[in-house]
Amino acid sequence: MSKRKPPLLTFKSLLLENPFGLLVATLIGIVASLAAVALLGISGWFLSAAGLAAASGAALSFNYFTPGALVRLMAILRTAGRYGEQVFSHDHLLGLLRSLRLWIWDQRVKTPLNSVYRQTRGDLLQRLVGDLDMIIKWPLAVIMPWLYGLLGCLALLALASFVEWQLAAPVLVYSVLQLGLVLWLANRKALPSVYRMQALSVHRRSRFMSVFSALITLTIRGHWQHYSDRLAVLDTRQKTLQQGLQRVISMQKLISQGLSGALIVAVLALCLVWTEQGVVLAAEVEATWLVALVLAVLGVNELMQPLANSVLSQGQSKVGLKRLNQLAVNQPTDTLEFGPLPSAETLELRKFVGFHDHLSLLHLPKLSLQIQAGQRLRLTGPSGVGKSTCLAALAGDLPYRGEVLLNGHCVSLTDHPKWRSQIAYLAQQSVIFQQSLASNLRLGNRQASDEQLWEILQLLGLKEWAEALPNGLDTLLGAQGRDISGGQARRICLARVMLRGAQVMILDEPFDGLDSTSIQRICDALERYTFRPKLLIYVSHIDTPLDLQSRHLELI
Amino acid sequence: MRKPVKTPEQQFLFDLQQAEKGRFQAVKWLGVLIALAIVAQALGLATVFAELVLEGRFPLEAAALAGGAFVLKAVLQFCREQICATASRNIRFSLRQRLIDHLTFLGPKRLELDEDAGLSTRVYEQVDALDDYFSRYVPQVFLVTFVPLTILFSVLPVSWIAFAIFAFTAPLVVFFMILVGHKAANANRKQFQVLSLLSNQFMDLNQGLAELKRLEQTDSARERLALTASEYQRTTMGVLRLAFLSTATLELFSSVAIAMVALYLGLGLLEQLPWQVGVAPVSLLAAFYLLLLAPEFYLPLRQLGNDYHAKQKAEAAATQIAEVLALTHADSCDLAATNDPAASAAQALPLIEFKALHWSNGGRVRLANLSAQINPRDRVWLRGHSGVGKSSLMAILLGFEQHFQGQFLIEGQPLRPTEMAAWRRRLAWLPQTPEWVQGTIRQNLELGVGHCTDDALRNALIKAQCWDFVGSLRFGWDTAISEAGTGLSGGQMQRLSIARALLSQADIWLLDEPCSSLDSETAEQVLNTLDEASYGKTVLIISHDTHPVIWANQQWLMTEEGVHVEAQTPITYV
Repeated sequence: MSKRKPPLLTFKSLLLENPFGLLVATLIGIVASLAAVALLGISGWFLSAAGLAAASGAALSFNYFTPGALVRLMAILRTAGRYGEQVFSHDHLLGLLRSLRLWIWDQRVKTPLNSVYRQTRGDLLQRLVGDLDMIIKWPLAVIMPWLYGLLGCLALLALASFVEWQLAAPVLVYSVLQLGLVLWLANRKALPSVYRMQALSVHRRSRFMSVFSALITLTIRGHWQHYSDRLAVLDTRQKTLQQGLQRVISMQKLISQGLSGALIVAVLALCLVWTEQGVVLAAEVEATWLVALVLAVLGVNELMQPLANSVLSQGQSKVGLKRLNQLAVNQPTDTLEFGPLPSAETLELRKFVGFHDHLSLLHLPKLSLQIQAGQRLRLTGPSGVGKSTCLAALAGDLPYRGEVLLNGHCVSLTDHPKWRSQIAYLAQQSVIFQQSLASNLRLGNRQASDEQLWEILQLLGLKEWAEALPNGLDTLLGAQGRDISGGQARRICLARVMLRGAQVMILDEPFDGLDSTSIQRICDALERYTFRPKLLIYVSHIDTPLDLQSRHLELI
Repeated sequence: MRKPVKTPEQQFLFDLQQAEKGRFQAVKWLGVLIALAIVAQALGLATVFAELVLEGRFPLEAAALAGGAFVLKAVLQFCREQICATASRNIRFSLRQRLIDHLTFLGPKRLELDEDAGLSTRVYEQVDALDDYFSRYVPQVFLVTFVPLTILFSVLPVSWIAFAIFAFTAPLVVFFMILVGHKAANANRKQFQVLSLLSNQFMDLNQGLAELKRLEQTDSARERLALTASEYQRTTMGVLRLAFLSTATLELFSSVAIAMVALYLGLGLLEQLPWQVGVAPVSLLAAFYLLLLAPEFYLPLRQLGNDYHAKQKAEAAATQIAEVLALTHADSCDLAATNDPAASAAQALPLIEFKALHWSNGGRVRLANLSAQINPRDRVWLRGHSGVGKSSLMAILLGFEQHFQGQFLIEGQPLRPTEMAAWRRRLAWLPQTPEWVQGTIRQNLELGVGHCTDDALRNALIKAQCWDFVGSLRFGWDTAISEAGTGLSGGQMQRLSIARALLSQADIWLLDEPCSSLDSETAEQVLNTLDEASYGKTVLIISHDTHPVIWANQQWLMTEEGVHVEAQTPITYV
């Protein structure tokens, strides 16, 4: 996947995502649609020609093999075509789903870390499931029906011109009205409602969440009724909009039917002459072909019906695209802009202070220090003084104020990929992925062998536990470590960090929830050459043997 | 016909449908008219065609019949669609209102089902997922039997052979549809499952995105996503290819039947049928009539095939919705025991008294054997390990749970529904995570209290020790707080809820582990603030042993066997 997506999703990019797949699906669909129209048309012509031949006594010389074969061919084409269309278009749809999900992932990765979790889970899930669902259906629900309608109209036009050139005019008017004007009008009428409905439903949900999160307070204060009434008002508004929308769609269907009826009347009127004996067929028109034409109009009328629903799909996918594009991130700085980074022999901080947002900046202490290869540093300080924030900023997760000098060169660490590859950072929160134990550990080092994994598990006192697991290293761990204890999750994260074998290690409370034997073992490991980092900066509220070799710095 | 046994979901959907019985009845009658219009249109058109071809004449009456039937059909379909949509809307919106009312009635118990975000999906998306079922599937079920039958009988007098073709293929169509449709249904269900699995994987990786960035593994995560998505595409297509066979079967029968009718009629007209050469079995009029009716015969069936997934979607949604409505407070009400004659000497009575309070629900004991009393200005620390019934006691005190055994007396009187509002107004409620709505700090403090003066607000904030940090915010108490809070720490949010409790003038404070999500240092500070703020109030506070409530004058230890009450010498700074 070397091809990067354009920063914004558009309808065009959706079409160009896998043009070949879409083309195949569309072509097969076209064949099926035309075959459906032709089946009726040819059958009608065949019947009337046969009837005429029988009446005029020419039955024996009538070639009934060709039309008979054609009728059968159309029947087969229609069946196979419908099947093929569904298979190919769904294959295309699933491919689109795949690439759109990856697109979202890319956007998430590009989002700066301090704003990644501003997106609530529910909201992201809604975009990932609901919006994607609407968007991937767009080619199927909007483009394809229109194309089939267009080609149906073109075929009708050809047939009409063949029967009698004057008939081309009403067919042309019909096509323009059906595919252009009616659709345009319906779009104009319906789209604002679709947008309003979408906006309203977002509003309604946040209201629901907000009101229900304070349910008990509101109930015991006796004000619940008032708030829940307002929720009901939003719902009623939604109902009215839905009603209006439904009326537009049904109306469009009715008008479309009416137009087809009008076309048949127009065609007949052009081919008929009023005489004293009643209404008769104009001499130059062949009755058999006229019958075929009228039947074909009825066939095209069926093709036009799905167009009415396409208005709704169009609006919904437009909103979906817009919402997905809100996730898009224009990468502020390209990877190339980060300069080369010297290896960390010395690290100096001047008036360094990390922050989540500018509001919290005032209360945090500024840090100035210097640390050299081989040194260890322990940060201490009371709770809430900003130790974790400081470590996170140092690891490049959060923005900071002040200067950082690496080997005497002034550098910027935030989101710097090369800095990331030099360090191993154990964050405050333990993150366990819904993968096997081995995959969770190998996130630290993809090349790690099973022996290495067992070694580190032994070191952290997890070996007995891991051996008792039903599938050993291949046991699937639950989402966010739901079925392992906090202490185990912590140690798995620590194992991951240690496996990285990085030169700089930044550890936030590595010993939390560990017994003294484990702590002793970890301290030994951090001193031994295998896992010994050049620089080690850590925060711990527990005193450990590691402190003997460390400088202490207290944040106040 | 043997009635198939209804699953609970189907029963639930059927009950909902009954509410709009009248409309669905009207839709049925419209369906009858539509079927008749189809036959009339075919008859009219066939006459027109036959006369045009054979005589070159245009029969006006027949044309009027065909045209009239065409217009009638279109108008009837318009009405039918409108009525169906209205019925579906009415069902859905009243169901939604019912759900919201029910969730309100459940109170804190609703969280046993799901978190609020999940519940909102049920209330909105899942209810809307019923739309296609009520607006398309249900009306179609009637048409699917009625229209083919009407056509079958209108074909009968014209041609035995055509009747035989229709009559023979229709059961085959139904048979194949059931056969393949069953597979398709399973495939559909599986697809739903895999799709949610995919979403879970994405959300899982997204949740750990920061960690993946730290470990430089975002690309490998992307590969993982790509791989599972491709795998999903491959397996799903395998299943879908089979599932689409159901649609293809319908298409095939429909196409082949038209072709067969056309060929039979064409050859018949030419007198070339192998078994009756030289005889024309049908007239041209009849031939056209049959040809026009052939596609209409299969159309409703094909439509139903398309709408079949609507049924599945609705059944899946119905399961989730019914789950909400099924959850109620246990109804083993023991009202007989609540008549207590000793209600005269109000002064001597304790404010709250529990007499052998016992509550079990669904076979599980929620709360065992509680006998204790709380006097005005008592401050009670309630402890005990999780799951022993501390939160259940809170639910009873808040009035969300009334179906218990034993007695819960307020000033010697059982809590009556009519006095519920008055009782609740005396309460202040501080849960583990404070309850906030979207709005400013001020709006949240005034939530359910009404407008307060600036002075009252300032006093409350000072007393709850919020004044310093609220003052340091750029917009003071007009700063907006959102779902996630605005840079305010857990301790600060908890202090704000203390301020809210102070503003409400409530004299009974119920606190459910207000410090459990705070670190020990902050927790201690918040507890100290609480000591000061709640002085002179009646307090029941649940707190873990790690956060001892030293200023309480009573300590209740709750176990599975019951509650052990113990006096405690309060250490307070007030």
